[in-house]
Amino acid sequence: MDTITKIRFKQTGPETILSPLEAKVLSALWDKKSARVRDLHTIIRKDTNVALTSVAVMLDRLHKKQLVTRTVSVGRGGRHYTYAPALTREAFDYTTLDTIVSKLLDTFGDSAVAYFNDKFSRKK
Amino acid sequence: MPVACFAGLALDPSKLLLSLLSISLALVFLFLLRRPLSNTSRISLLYAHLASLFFPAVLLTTQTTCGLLCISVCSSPTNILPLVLLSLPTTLLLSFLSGSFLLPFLFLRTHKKISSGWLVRFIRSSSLRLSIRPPSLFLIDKASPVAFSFRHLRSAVFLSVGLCDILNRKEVEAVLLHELAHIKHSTSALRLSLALFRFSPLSLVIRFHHLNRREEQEADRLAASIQHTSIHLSSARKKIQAYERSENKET
Repeated sequence: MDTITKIRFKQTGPETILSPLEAKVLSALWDKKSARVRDLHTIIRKDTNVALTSVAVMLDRLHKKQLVTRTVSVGRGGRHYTYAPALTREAFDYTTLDTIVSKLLDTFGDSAVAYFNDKFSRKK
Repeated sequence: MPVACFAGLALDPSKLLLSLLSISLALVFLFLLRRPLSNTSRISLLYAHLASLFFPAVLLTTQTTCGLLCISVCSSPTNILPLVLLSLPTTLLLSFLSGSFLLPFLFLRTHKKISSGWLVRFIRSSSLRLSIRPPSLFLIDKASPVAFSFRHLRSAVFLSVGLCDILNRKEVEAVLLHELAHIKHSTSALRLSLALFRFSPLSLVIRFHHLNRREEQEADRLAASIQHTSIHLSSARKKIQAYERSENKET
């Protein structure tokens, strides 16, 4: 996951690396498995007052970040995108951790290795 | 090699003068476009602008210092007349071919044609109503809401998947009617020429939105008259603008 540009330490879950609305859309998509923009909008609208266009923009951003896949399907209103998560929740967590830890190792080298050794040996 | 080309052009005063004259002409054509003119005159001026802007580039390729690209007629650096006689029609031909064939061909080849479904049926029935030949419908695989049409080679309407995602059926119909109105009024030729204007470096500083404002209003009027209301068209426009606003802000 090369798309991590900032980490929000005050947040938890996908919101740590995604914007609040992106995280909501991705979480809804994990629950639904696959959905159209309108279906996701209906779900998210129950908690947050958000426009259909905003949900469409978030899905496009997630697609550009390769976190969701999309296929063109034929529906009542013509052609539509059907979105699906590219990673499971677990795979998303693993990839996020892997990207962050790799970045720490690249940046701090031996200091990072020594820190992790110390941290994990104390945990045992 | 390109450095040698530029050096060759700069060292030859007659070619340098010709290039400067050509670029000045391009600016004059651009200035004239700001005046109220007919569609045909506007299209001619756009092509004239592009042709005079690219003329120095074609002149470069016929330079003796350009090695492989050099053509036998330009073997003498002082022989400017044959150079012009060769470069000018070449530039005009290239501008005409790119505008009339290359751009439409690229659009038609790079998008998927839809041949069934209510969108196609709607286009067929509306074309019959507007007394025009039904255009082909092409799908743009993009989430941004986009729709456009042209009437070069053959008429075609392009619609993005993202447009169908955010608009309801009536709004999509309004957008399609708007595009069909463009085909009926033959304004898509001007719009395609304006698309070609993006190849001009001056397009970065000059915009010509006002050139097709009247055509846009006419297309809106025709779409609204067929639907007996302008509600769907204006709500479609609002949604497209809302999408663009959301695209530019972080939420």
